[in-house]
This record gives sequence, structure tokens and C-alpha cells, in this order.
Amino acid sequence: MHGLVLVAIIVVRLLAYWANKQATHAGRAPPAWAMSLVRTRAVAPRVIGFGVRGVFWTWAWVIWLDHGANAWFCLCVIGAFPQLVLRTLLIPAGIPHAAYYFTRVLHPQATLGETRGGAVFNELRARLRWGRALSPAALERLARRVVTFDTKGTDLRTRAASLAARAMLDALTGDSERARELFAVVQTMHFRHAARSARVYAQAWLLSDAARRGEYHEVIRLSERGPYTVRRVFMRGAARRLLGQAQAPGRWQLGLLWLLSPGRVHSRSLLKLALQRPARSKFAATARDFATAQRLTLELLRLPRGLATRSELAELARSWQTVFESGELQDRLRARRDALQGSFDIERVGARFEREVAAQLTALVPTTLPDGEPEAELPMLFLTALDQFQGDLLGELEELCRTLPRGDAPPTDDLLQHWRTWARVRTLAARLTDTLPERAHLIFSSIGLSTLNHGAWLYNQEKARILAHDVFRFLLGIAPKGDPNWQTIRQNAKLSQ
Amino acid sequence: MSQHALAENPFLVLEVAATATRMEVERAGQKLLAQLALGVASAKSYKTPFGKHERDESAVRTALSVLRDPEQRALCELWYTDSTASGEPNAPLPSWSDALRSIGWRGPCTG
Amino acid sequence: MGIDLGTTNSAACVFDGEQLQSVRSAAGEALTPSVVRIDQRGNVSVGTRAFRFLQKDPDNTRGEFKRLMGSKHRYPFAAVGKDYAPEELAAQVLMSLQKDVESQLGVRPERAVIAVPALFELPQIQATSEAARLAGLTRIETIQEPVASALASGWSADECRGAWLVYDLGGGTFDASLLETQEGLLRIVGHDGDNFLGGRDFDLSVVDWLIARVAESSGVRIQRSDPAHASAVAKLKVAAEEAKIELSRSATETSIVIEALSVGDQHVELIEEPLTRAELETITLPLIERSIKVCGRLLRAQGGPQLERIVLVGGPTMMPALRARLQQAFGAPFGSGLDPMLLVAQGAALFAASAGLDARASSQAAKAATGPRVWLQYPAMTPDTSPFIVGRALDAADGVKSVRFTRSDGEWQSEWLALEEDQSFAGMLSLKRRASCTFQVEVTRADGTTATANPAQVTVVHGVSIGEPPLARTIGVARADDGVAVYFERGSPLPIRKTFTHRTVENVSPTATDYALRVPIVQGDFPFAHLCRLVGVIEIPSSALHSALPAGSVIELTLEVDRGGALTAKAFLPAQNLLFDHVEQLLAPATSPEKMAELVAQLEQRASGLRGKAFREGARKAIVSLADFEATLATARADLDAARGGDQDAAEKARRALIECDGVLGDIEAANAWPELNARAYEEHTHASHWVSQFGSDQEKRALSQCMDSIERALRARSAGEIERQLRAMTRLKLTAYYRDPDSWARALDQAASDVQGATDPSKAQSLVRQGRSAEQAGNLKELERIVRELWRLFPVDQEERSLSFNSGVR
Repeated sequence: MHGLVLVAIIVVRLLAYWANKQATHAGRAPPAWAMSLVRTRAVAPRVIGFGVRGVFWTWAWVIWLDHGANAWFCLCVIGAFPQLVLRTLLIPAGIPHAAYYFTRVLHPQATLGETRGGAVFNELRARLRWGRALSPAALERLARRVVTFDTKGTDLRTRAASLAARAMLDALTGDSERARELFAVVQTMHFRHAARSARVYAQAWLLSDAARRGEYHEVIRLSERGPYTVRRVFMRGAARRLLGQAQAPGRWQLGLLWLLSPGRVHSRSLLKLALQRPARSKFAATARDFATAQRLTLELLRLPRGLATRSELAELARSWQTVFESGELQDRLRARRDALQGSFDIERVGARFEREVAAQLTALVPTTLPDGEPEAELPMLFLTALDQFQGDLLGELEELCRTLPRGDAPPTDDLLQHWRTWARVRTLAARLTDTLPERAHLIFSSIGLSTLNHGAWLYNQEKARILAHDVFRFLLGIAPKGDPNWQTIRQNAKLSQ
Repeated sequence: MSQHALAENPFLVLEVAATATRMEVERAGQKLLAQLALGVASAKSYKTPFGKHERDESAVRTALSVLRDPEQRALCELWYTDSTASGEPNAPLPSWSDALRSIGWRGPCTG
Repeated sequence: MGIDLGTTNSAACVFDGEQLQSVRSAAGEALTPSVVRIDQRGNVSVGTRAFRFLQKDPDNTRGEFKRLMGSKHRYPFAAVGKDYAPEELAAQVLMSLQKDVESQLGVRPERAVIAVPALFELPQIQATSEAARLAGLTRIETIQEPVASALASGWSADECRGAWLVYDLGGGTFDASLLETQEGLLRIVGHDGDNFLGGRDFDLSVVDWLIARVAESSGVRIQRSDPAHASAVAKLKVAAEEAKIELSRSATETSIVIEALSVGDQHVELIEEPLTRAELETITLPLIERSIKVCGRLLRAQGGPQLERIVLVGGPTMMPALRARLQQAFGAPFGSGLDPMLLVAQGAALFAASAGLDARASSQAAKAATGPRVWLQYPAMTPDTSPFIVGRALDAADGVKSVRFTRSDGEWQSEWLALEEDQSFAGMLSLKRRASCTFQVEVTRADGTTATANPAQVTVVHGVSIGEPPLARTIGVARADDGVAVYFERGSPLPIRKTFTHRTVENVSPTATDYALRVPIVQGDFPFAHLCRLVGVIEIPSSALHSALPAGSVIELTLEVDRGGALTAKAFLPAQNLLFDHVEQLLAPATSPEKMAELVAQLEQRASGLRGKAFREGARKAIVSLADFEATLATARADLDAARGGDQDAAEKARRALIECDGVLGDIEAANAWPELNARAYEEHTHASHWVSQFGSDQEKRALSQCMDSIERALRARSAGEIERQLRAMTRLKLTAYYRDPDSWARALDQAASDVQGATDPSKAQSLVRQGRSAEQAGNLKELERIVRELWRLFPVDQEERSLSFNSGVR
């Protein structure tokens, strides 16, 4: 009976696939029911996977009915639910080859669309468990298997697990910057194309990597997106405590979160660090003169990265602005010019000093978290620094998006390259949205069109549907509702889902 | 890094006060160049509000030529902060060294 | 020893710690002409002897090879049948100078300082080093000519105070430097010059006058731009130069005599033209004015200080007319007791002393000296009367405890300086003003005994020192969007090194053959890369990459300029751990006269448009700039004509003039752009706020006011990119609100209906219009919108772009 159900499922899926193909050949739109079952699903591996597991499942059922729970029954259960074995045995024990072949032969549900990539992903995780067999030659071999194009030119076999595996390989060969970008993309992929295990792993890696470098403001930012896990809540709490923020959880709260989060053995050290850290008193400008502004600048620069808050920066900007407007700077410069017997233009040197102060503020802005203070109340100097920061980022984004292929560009078959470029675009955009949330609408007006056209090109010419879907989903997030192109984007997103 | 710019202030590099005369600056620079040529250890690093920084011959020469120009010198004086008044630099935030181990990663990870 | 390797004349000077001595040639002259002759037996003659053959035997005698140093040009010598590079000829001159030093002082020099022009590029400096190496000098340093002349003038001055102008008019180039002096500390504040103004141009103006007189008196027409008349012109040149020198030195009137001048089929036996000093003055006045204009420009750029002294360098400055005119223009006295022809060599010798570069071979040292060895570092020449001396005991076994210095005249003695743990010590010496002082070095050992150290004495000279001159031009890297990433500003102190991170703009794959990622290094003050001059390129060939390099990958560029002004660059790719530091250095690129003629036409067109606008608006500044532009363009046209006749120099001049004109027009256009941008921004804001206030949401209204604030800030900060970006955002907000208006689609439908004939498929368009009208009547807005969008697809892009200016690509 259960076997029949399984067979029925397989038959229906095959029918849907056949209907889809017929419609495409005839030039008609495929029927909706067929589309929803088959679209962006790599059919062949799915059929095989379901088939293989279905066989084991039926066997297990038969054995249980006849003999009860004996050794054969257990083996069949393993064959029917391979993900369980992987998660609880093979990866924690660190048996790489077994993990690889398990995934490839038994097709666990998590990596059903991308068996090869998934197999490499699991093998890497198993290898890293004990840090064995990570020679460059072995990594090279694994790399070759990860990102592949189907012979028909679709990218359906490259999903979250393949990208996560590629990112892990990058991190192992030392290119952490690109690994971070790829993991960020994996973390926020659509659930249909990305197994939860890959997304959770990506999030966990990003958080741990930021904490390893001591960049706790990054930890807080990264914990705002991706799948909901206890780990991310715990790490955010620990980071808030380390940075001495007001919304940090109390000692008992943090302890409770630690108990609930995975990897307790090693994260105990983080808990200890977080609990030991004393709260920090905020800096305040006592007077608005040159010496105080200088001292305050020095104090803020001496703080470790991430500790300064936006309001302190605004306070510093206010002090400097008062100094510039009161003419104290010009008086100082005039006195020194006479003492040094120079002949320079005071206005010019003063303007240069102002620019350098603004540059210092711009350099400090990315390490601070936005605190919701409305822009209207910020001093002009600070706004100029924010403008500079935003201008630099948007300039880089525009430059990058100008080179994205679109329209009639010939297809290149270099899928990995496209993913990497897209990951870079996403990282830059995320940096702007995180640092300056009120100005996020500028992203769409800067790169919206070029990205939209790039997504269309990816879908039409390059047949990279999963990547195209990611593009459209991102655009859907940043485009304002009333925009004329919003409908187009939504249609495209649905089409490629 | 903005700390870098402040720490490389020529007055700090040459270890002279902001009110030093031209001749005193040249003298200090020449002394440092001689000591660096001899390999004297005390000349190889200097104190800043952000800890100890290294200096070499080109850094000293750059500092000397910057202080010769009155306009640049005025700008450097504006940025100069007396390092001794601030004490030791703040300790950096503790980094969580076991971070990657907690996700089951015992491999190398740099950068 | 210091050497001045000039274009026309070379000289050498020696400094012995107290006095400067110029080196005389075998013929007893201080100057050696930079001319080399090789006869058929391979005998080389240098100097005055070779100079005589310059006209008689031009195929085997070469002069003025300094101009082509560092280029790939080779001079053919017909008699021997070989060709020589300019470096080899310069080496011959250097060897002749060395022989003179040996015969005069008995020591063969092995190390020297050679003066090079301030604007010499790296290949030219390297060629000079190569010439020195070929001549047998084991070690040389280079110094810039204005620095050398400044040093020499400071040395001989009684006191150093105030601002000095160094006026260097050489054979082919004019350099002006502004010095700031203070108690013996010299500093070059600014530098300016004209690479095409020199004694030659004075000669050429006399030649032009002569040509006019010859045409008048004997009807023979000679043209400078005609290559067939070249030999005749050369004869005229030589005569003109001799006359000029004579008039400068002694006579108030002379006559120019030329025998047997033949031009084509015309022939004149004898030409004799009288020339007075006053006439010469009139002929050369425009050139003198040009040089004064350059000086004026330099002074203005540095804030117009009052000059304390003018230092004259170079043969052509002997002209009384020039001196009188300079006095009139600047009112400062000339430096006295200075020989303009030898100043550069003297300065080079002084620099050698201050750098401790002894010309003698180092075998003179270590004369079986006893005593504990110490290694001392001190300035050989310093303006400081109490310099530091730093040292270190070399053998710990000697057990040296402290050191003392005693001045040889007995008037001063230092205290005992104790040694630190690492055997080093530091102390101050006291010098006598403007004299050379010798100090005895004594040490005490651990057991209490005193001994003389090895070296037994040190000599320090109190004189002047000069800081390195600042960078003469702005250097940066050209970006893909025609912008320039400035690394070093003009006037930055040397040495200087900066590293910036850039990102690549396109993918480079190692399999692509013959493709290289170029990093162009440019110099110039313009904001656009195409106006700046390319000085070097780092090429990263795709074959050198380990793997594909994606667009947007990081590339770290380090540019460094050393004390001598030589530029080196490195490119580092961190992703693949590759370092590239080979820079293709480029000298002035050759431009063909045809291209330049095209450029002239383009410039004229642009200028006429700008002129009309300027007159309409009465913009005074623009009109004045355009008048200057016209003058420069006229000289450029004249030079272009000369260039067509084969004059390389004129081609170069024309190219520079055209770049200047382009820059002037660019400035005017930029100055116009700001008010235009301002007006556009306010106009756009008015339209946008009209629609957004009616149909926009609260969030959109806030976003719009934010945009306007950003635009105001960007206008103040003069950042055009930011303004464009905010304008785009505002346009988008406006359109979003506009299309919420129910009437807007109807209006769009009407517009499309009126243009139905322009559609690619008129019948389909008509049917769609009908459907649209019915939808409008029915009040179905969504349907109407869909129909209008479909209609737009039928029209050529123009229609849609006019409405939306978007280019959506998905169907």
C-alpha cells in the first residue's frame, strides 16, 4: 500500500515533467500544475532519490511487519532516512568518504536537487571535524566536483550546499573575504533552493568568523538575517554585552541562551568573556573648544573597533562643528603662521583640516550601529561624513553593476563567476543597508535597472535560474512598492522560483 | 585606518614637541637617521597613543620633509596629541578563539 | 667632485672642505663643450677640439645628446661605421673631465655627484648612471640642477634670509625655482619652467631677423620649415650665436658675416649685416618677457613673496638686456661673486661633500691605525652649529666605557659620553660658523686607561643644507571612468610612498591570450585622465595569473618617489599573492601632425559654442580665458606648421599647447556646469514635489526631502556624481507618484495614439488604442496600464524612454 503511494508520487512527477517538456517544445505555456511541481527542480536526481529511498522504506516496512525490529530493519531505515545518520553519526564522527558516498548514493532529502554539491559539503564538514586530510591536492579535487553545469546548460544542480562547499574551500585556501560573501548569499537563499542545514551552517560560520576576529558589531549585524536559530540569539546577546550596549541581556538570560544553543562545550569561553566584560561609560563633550574636540577624537580612536556608538560620533561632530564655526581654528592657524614665518592661505589649510576631520568620521562610521536618531538632528559635519561613506559605497556598487552582462551579451558558462560577482553586489548593498538604513532606497535607484536586466539575461541566455531568482528576490526587497517596475520584478521572481 | 594617520604624525615620529624650532627638528631628525644607520635599538620604535609604532629611515625622512613646509607643519600641529598624557592604549576586545571549533571546524582559517 | 653635464657645455668642480675649485681643461678653460667627434681611425675627441668640427664634419661630430638620453635613439658615425647611444657619448665627456681632474689635482676621481634637470624622467636618470658607469665612476649620486645652483648660491652668501629666485636659462630649457632660506637651511618651495625656452630660441629669433634682412638685401628667400634649407639655416645659427655672445660680453655693435650661402639654386657670396645691442634687445624682448611671465606665475602660485635675491644660472643670462629687465621686474639684487656658468657644478660638489661622497678611492683609509674601533655617524656638512654625533663601539672586547671629542683648535671639548648597553652613544659637537672643524676622538676603557680611537679624527663643515625639493607634478593612477586617483599632490615633500586599494573592472582569465590588465600612471593636474600625461604603465599579463581574476577583485597599488624624484610602482594581487613591479616607462609619446590638426578643429568648435554663451551671459572670467585660449591656439598652429616641416621640438610644443587649450576649455565647461546642475536640481525638485505631495506616501515625501538635503550638501562639496545619483532617485520618486494619478495613463494613451503611425506595427497599435479607450471608459485602470505598456513596446525605444527613460529587459 505504501509502496503504491510511493509509485504514484513518482508517476505523477514523471507526468508533470513530460507535460512540461511537451509544452516547451510546442512553444506553449506549460500547464500550471506541471510547472509548480517541476519548475527549478532537477527532476532526474529527484526521481532516483525518491526511488532509492522509497525502496528502502518499503523494505523496512515489510521487515518490520514480518520480523520486527532486527538488524536488517535498522539497515533499511538507514537507507530510507540517510540524513539522520549523517547528522548524528558520520559528520560528528568525522568520516569523510562515508559521508560523501552516503550522500551521493542515498540522496538525502536536504540535498536532493544537488547530490554532488551536497556530497562535497558533507565530506568537507566531516573532514573539518577533526581537521584531517586537508591537503591542497585533496581540496583541489573536491573543488572540481563542486560547481558544475548540467549538460543541458541549466544550473539546477548548483544550490545552497554547493555554494556553501565552495565557500568552505575558499576559506580553507585563505580567501576569507570571498568565502564570507558566498556564505552571506547562502544564508538568505530562498527555502526552496536551499536546504536548512546549509543555511544554518552558513549563518553559524559567519557568526563564528566575525567573533573570531573580534568584530562584534559584525556579529550583531549578521544575526539580523538568515534562519531563526538559538545560536544567533545567543551570539547576539553575547556581542551586545561585550560592546556594552544598553539592550544587552542580563547574566541569567545569557546563561539560559547558552544552555539552549548548540556547541556548548566551546561556546563556554564566549559566555565567560561576555560575563566578565564591564559596562562602558559613554563619552561626553564637556566644553566645545579645540582641545576638548581633539581629546575626544583621540579617545574615540583609541577604543577597540565596534565600541563607539553613533551618538558619540554625532557628539564629536557637534564639537568640531562648533570649533569650526567659532573661528578658533583660524585664530590658531594665524598665530602659528606668524610664528613659523610662513605665507600659506589660512582658509585653505582650515578647509583641508575640516576635510580630514570629516574623513576620520567617515572611517569610524562603518563600525558603529545605527541607533535610530533621525537625520534632521545630526550636525552638518556628520551628515557630510555619512554622505561620503554612502557615496563611496554606491560608487563601487555602480561600477560593479556596470560590468554585469545583460541584453545581448553571449552566454559564458562560468557559473561560479556569476555567483561570486552577485555575492559581492549583495555584500556591498548589505553594508549600506546595515549602516545607513534610512538611505537604503538609493540602492534601487542606483543599480535597480542594471541588476534587473542582468537577472533577465541570466534567466534567458545563461539559463541560470536559481541565481536569477536570487537576483529578483533581492530586488523585490529593495524596490519600493509604487515603482513602475515592481510588477515586472514580482513576475520574474515567481517565474524563476 | 584613521588611527594610522594620527600615529604617524611627524612630531611623534621625531619625538619633538610641537613648539620646537626648525633647527631642533633638523637636529632630532639627523640624530635619528644616524642612530638608525648604526642599528641602535631604541631608534627603531616610538611611542604613540595607540601603542608602539616602528620607524625606519624613510619614515624619518618623510617626517623631516613634512615639517620643513610651514603649511604642512601647521596642519600636523593641529593633529598632534601628546601621547604621554593619555597613558596606555585601550586593550582590544577579546576575540573568541574557539569560535570555529564550536561549529565543528578544526581546519585553518586566516584572514 | 660635482659634474654639470649640460646640453651645450659641461663643467666639473671640486670641494676640499674649505673652498670650491673649478676644474680646467687641457686648454685652460672651465667649460668643456658637450661635443664628441670620432674620426675614421676611431680616435675620440671631446670638447673644444670637437666643437670646431660641428659644422665642417656633421656626420662624425655630435652634440646636444643630452636631449635624447634615455630614448632608444642611436647616433650613426659615418667614418667608423658604428652607431653610439647618447649614454656612450656622455661617458666620453665624463672621461675627459676625469682626466682633467687627474692632471690638475693628481687624483683620479671614482665617485661624483652629477646634476640632472629637475624634470628628468627615470629612464633619463638611469641613462646618466649608465654613462657614469661606462666612464669608470664606481658610485654616483644625482642631484637636480636647481637644487645644485641653490646650494652653491647659499654657500657663497654671507647670510641666508628670505626668498630667493633661481633663474636658470640654459641652452634649451628655462627653469625657475623659488627658494626659502633661513639660517643656512635652504628649501625649494616651488618650481616652474619652460622646456622650450633657452639660448637656442634667442639664437633662432636672431636667425629670423637675419632671414628677413637677407631677403631684403639680396632677395634670397630662406625658410626655416623647409628641410632643404637646413644647412643654410645652420650657418646662420652659428653666426647668430657668435654675434650674440660678443654683444653680451664686450661690444655694443658687431656685424654678422656669412660667406658663400647657397639655398637651392640661389647663391650669395657674402652677407654682412650690422647688429647693435639695442637691436638685439628688441629682437629678444618677447622671449625675455616669456621667461618673466613664467617667474611671475611661480611667484603668484607661492603667495607672491618679496624676493631678497635673484640667482642667475646659465650662459645666456650674461646678456645685459636680460639683467636689466629682471631688475626692473623684480627689484631684487643679483647674487654677487657667482659665475653663472659654473654654479651648477659647484653646487653638485657641495652636495657631494654633504653626502659624504669622497671622490678619492677608499684605499686611503686604515693606515695601520691602532686603538679601539668605533663606528661614527655625523653630518659631513650641516648648518647646525651644534649637531649630534652618534656612534657605536665595534669590539666589545675592547671594553670601551666612554668617548670624548676635542676640537683641534683647543677651544672646545665635549664631556665624557657614556656608552649604553648596546655600545652606542650620542652627543653634541660645537662648530665654528662657516668653517671646517676637526675633532679628535678619545676613549676610556674599563680599566681606566685613555686611548685614541680609530678613526682618530672627524671633520665637520658648517655650511648650508638643502631639503629635497618637493614633487614637481601631481602623480596619480588613471581610472576606468576617465578619472584620476591622485596619489601625490604637486608640492608634496620627497621621499613619499603611498598605497591605495583599487578594484578591477573586468574579468581576466588566464586562458585569454594577449590580454593584459593595464594600470596607467599619469602625471598632471587635470581631473580627467585623458588630459594628463602618461608616464608609465604596469601591465599584468593574463598568462601570469594563477586563476581567473573576477571583476571587482582587490588590487593594491604602491607608488613611491625617492629623494631624487624617480618613480617606482608595484601592483599586488592579494587574492593570488602575485606582485608585479615592472613599469613600462614612457617618454613623451609621438603624436602625428594630422591628429593634432583634427584636435585643433575640435577645439575651435567647442570654443565657438562657449564663446557665444559667455558673451550672452557677460561672464568676464570666461571671456578672458577664451582670449588666452585663442593666443595659445595661434602659437600651437604655428608650431604645427613647423612640425610638418620635420621639427620635432615644435611638434612637442604644439602637443603641450593643445593639451593646455583642452584644459582651459574643460575648466570653462566645468565652471558652467555647476550653475546648470544647480538649476536642473531645483527644477527637478519642483516637479517632483508637485507630484509627490499629491500622490506620494509619507515615506516617499520624507525620502524626497532627504534627497534635496543631500543635493544641497553635494553642491557645496562639489561632487557631481553624488548629485546625479540623488537626481536619479528624485526622478524615480516623481515617476512613482505620477503614475498613481489616474489621469496619467490616459494621457500616456493619448500621446501614444497621436503617434500611431510611428509604431512598428501600426494596425496592432490601432487596435490596442481602441481597446485602451474602451478600458478608459470602463474605468479599468489596471487594464489601461497593461495596454499602454504593450503599446510602448511597439514603438521604437524613443517613446518609452521619453516617458520612463528605463530599459526593462524581461518579457
